[in-house]
Amino acid sequence: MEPEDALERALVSHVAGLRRYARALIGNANDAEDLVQESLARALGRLKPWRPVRDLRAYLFTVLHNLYIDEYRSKRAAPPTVDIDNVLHHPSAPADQDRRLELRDLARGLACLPDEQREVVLLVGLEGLSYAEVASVLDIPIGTVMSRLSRARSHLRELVEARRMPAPAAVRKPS
Amino acid sequence: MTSDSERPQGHSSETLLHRFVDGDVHGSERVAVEAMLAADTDALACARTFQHQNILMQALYPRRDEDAMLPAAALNLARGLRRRRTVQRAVAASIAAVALFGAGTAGWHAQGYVERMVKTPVVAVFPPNSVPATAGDEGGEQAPSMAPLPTAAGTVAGDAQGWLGKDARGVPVHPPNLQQVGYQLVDGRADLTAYGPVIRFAYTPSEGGDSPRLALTVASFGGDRRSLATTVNPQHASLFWQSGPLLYALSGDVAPGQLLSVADAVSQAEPAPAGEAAEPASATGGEAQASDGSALKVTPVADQGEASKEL
Repeated sequence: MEPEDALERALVSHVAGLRRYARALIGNANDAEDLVQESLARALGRLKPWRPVRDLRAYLFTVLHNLYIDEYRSKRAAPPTVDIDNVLHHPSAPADQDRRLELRDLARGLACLPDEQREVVLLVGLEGLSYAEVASVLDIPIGTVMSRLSRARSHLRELVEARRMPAPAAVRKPS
Repeated sequence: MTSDSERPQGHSSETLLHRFVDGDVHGSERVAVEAMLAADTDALACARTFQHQNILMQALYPRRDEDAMLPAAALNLARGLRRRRTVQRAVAASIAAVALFGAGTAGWHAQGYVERMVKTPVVAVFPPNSVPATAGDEGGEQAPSMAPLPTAAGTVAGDAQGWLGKDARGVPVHPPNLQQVGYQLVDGRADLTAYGPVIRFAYTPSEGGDSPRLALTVASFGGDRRSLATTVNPQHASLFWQSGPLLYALSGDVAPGQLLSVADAVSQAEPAPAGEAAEPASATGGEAQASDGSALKVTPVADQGEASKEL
């Protein structure tokens, strides 16, 4: 196989992951698609014949992440909104009511996470990047990856559990 | 997923728990974690919760077949890169570049490098000990002169002027700003060769010192292809490459890795596409604005075959 064919195949193998991550990160399908397209254009524009990329996946995610910070994250005043009907229109399996609620809670929990925690938990839990790859993509020490991941998962668990708890009964003052 | 050397220091039980959830624990370490989970129901509940979070995330954002298609723009770029990487298409250009720049780069490093340069016909011969004079030079070291050109000098000089403008081949040329890699522009000139006009830029280390200078020669090839970089004579570290309509030669008595970094910086500073390019150097040898803000006056070679320049 020619190197150029290998490059095209490699890109195709990563683009679905990029789109998925962008959708999860931004919460808006159109913005996510724009982000992926621009990231690919930038990445391809920077590839040099004399500078082969060792880890194309990490490289592509790095470009996407940097672009997200430059173009999207700073402009966003509020946390990403998640329309549960949009994210659930392609479930991997028919979701029963409980499952649907779980997914809804998780989507809302993810939207409530701070950006730096959501990025780490999505790269690890959704895209399956290694901690070292995440450290490279986000340009942070691997220890920071671990601490952010730990806080993100705990935070997510608390958010989901809080939604599950019944609302406290109103305390009626004695008349 | 993570090699031993990459793992964070101090394997706390919490770190181990996350690594276990993400499938990064193997062998005896896995046995130890499983034993810990068997003894610690809270940790076990945590592990199950985190694993469930991963599963839910996968279900929430499943991979879709339609996502695997490259956007059209990216596909075009990828195929452009394919053309860039096609060695066969670049061979002719590289050979031409080597022949063309073999003369040009020698001028800047005329410390006996002429004999060590690429064994190709040299049409512009610089005196062996000449060093191009710069604005800061005192004593007026003799500028290199050129051998008689096979073409009528006036015609070629006209080409140079046109090329320095933007109408001959439509390619404006600006001295790349190499400050980020530690070099500053000190000289620039237009010269003529049998292959046509070329523009040469000289850079010295920004910090001064005895480090050797670098020579960057640029010529128009008239095509729009991109080709590979070719390292010629690694002892001297010369690079030749084509990018769009321009041919580049970069040389210096520096380590090849350092030259690659400089080549990368030159590449980053490539001219913008037509319509977005800034004004080129003056067609009459007037001032051009260097990308680092300094004024660069480029004077095409005189009819008598003498190259001249001033900053």
